[in-house]
Formats: sequence, C-alpha cells, structure tokens
Amino acid sequence: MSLAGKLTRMNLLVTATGLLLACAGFVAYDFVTIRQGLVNNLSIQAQVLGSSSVSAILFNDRASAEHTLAALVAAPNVVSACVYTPDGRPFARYRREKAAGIPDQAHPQPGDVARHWFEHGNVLVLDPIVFQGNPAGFIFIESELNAFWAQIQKYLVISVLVLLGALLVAGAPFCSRFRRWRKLRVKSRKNGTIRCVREAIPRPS
Amino acid sequence: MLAAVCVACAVLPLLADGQQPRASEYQVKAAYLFNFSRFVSWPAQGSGDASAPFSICVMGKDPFGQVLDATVAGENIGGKSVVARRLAQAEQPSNCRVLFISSSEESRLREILAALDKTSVLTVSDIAHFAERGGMIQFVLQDNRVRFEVNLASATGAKLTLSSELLKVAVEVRKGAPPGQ
Repeated sequence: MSLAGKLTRMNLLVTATGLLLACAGFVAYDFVTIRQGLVNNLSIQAQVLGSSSVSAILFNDRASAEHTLAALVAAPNVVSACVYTPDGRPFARYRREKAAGIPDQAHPQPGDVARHWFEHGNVLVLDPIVFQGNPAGFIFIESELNAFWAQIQKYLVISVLVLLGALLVAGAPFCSRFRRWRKLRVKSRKNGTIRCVREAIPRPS
Repeated sequence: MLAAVCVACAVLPLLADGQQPRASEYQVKAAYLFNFSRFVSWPAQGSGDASAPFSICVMGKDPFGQVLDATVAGENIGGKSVVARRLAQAEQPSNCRVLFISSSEESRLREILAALDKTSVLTVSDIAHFAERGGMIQFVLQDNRVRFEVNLASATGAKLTLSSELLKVAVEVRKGAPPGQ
C-alpha cells in the first residue's frame, strides 16, 4: 500500500474512533438524563395524583380516588397505578385497558420513603402522600419505557448518520476517484486559462 | 399528631373492607369531624384570643363518647391544639370552630342556626335535611357508609372557605342561597 493510502486509512481510523467515542458519550449521557427525566416526570405525576387523592383517602371515598387515577388514561405509557392507605392497604386502582400490569404490586409499609425501581422493562414509582405534614397514604405508578427507548433509538440513528457523514467528508479528499476528479478539474481549469490568455492576446499579423 | 391521623386514616377504610372489623358509625363521624377542619379555612379573628384552642364542640346529647376525644388528642390545626368540648344547655357556641349538632336538638335547630348567623362556625349534623335547612355539612349514610352533603351557600355566608378537595368527596354540594337570604 502506498504512503498516501496508509495516511488515508490512518486519518479515517482516527476520525472514526474520535466520532465513535463522542457519539457513545452523548448517547450514554442522554440515556442517563432521559431515564432520570422520565422518573422525575413520573414522580411529579404521582405527587399531583397523590395530593388530589388525599380527601378521598381521608373520607374513604374510593370512587373519587378511582376517578382521580382515571386521569392517567391521558398518559398512554402508564400501565397501572394504585393509591394505598397509610398502613399500606390498596385503596383505589387503575389499570390501562388491555394492560398486563398489576396495580397493587408495591406493598408499601408505613414510613416508606419515595423510591423508584425498574422491573420487566418498566419503571415503577412509589411516593408517600403527605397532607399537612402527616402521612396520608401512598401512590404507586408503573410506566412503560417505550417513549424512553424510542428517544434513545432516535439518538442512535442520528449518531450513526453523523458518523457516516463525517467519515464521508473526512475520507473523500483521499479517495482515488476524488483525486482523479480533482486532477481533471484542475487540468480543465488550466486549459481554460490558457485558452482565455490566447484569445486575449492578439496574434501578430 | 401522627397517631391521631393514623387513627383517622385507618378507621375510615375499615367500613369498606368486609374482612376486617368495622369501625362504628360514630368513630367514622368523629374522624370526619376532625378531617373537615383540615379542609376549611376560617376568617382571621382580629380580636379573638390567639392562644385559644381549636374547639370542636358537640351540642345536645353526645353520641361520640370518648371517640371524639381520642380522635383529636394531640392534634393541632393551624398551630392551635384541638380540643373536643361538650356544650352546656345555655352555652353559646360562638367560641367553637366546628359545631356538631346532635339529633337530640332537632326541634331547636332553626333557633340554633339563627343564633349562629354571622358567626364563622362550621355546623355539622346528622339530622335529616340539615343541609337543606341551612346547616353546612350533613352526614348521610349511603350503602352503610358515612358520606356527607355540603351546603356551600351557608358556609360561604359564614365566611368559611371550603376546599375543593372537600367538595370533591361530598355526595351533594348545595350552591343555592341559604334560607332567609
């Protein structure tokens, strides 16, 4: 292999490695931040629903709590949800239509603090419901990670496209066909210039 | 405070769970009586005694017994300790924040409510048609469960602000003008 070829390959390899590392870093960062964002959003959702369920728990109005949980129908990722009494007994449940989630799988204990965990490819959030500084119950929400994976997939596709584009741009100047095309272009430019000069200078009669 | 909240929260769902011992009707009503206080805002009392406790009073024959005292024991609302008081026959309920009017007072209801006019006392009772007759919160039994109706107009007339959370769980909210207006 010629020296030019070796240089070309080395240049491409360095570029590719750099880009690959950069893309991996970005995707890893996005993986963590999107996942954390998803958990935060779900936790906020749980807190909103929890505070809306306080009076239902305190006045033993199951129908009202179920009505509150039914608002989750607007969140297609949520598989199931459950409101618990302060001693951890299921009080009201929600399950998305045709979903396989179990609404009361959290089994909270009095004194439990907010937590989240991942199970069967879903994220599960348990939040204590606090009213006027006192525990009033718990709320549990299970959500699918479809949106998360779709986002990660989108980032991966963008990264691969950027990588390919960058490699194409980086490799083009060293490609033999490109070099040949450039030589031809330079040659034709030179010829054009000579022709112009010839035409501009009047021939002695 | 935690203990009383736990009592209140634990007692209520017992009514719905068939396998566990049921709380008595007045245990539930006592818990509700205390919980109402947590969803109602009273107007600031300019000349009132700031150190006075938050009184939940019972007028007439007391159906709660010690249950009400146990429910409010150690509790506080807005920084004031909560006490349960039984009113003597001639005692004025104007120092009470919440007044439970026992069914023994049904014949005097009009008179009692008239005396409370222009005072910010949350009136609660299980007398039939209490909310219709100008009372603020009426306990009703629905499918063996204690529920309540709210007369929002009466409460607003007494300058009380009832939380939407409370209205959400009421079986009926009357918004019409209270009788006499």
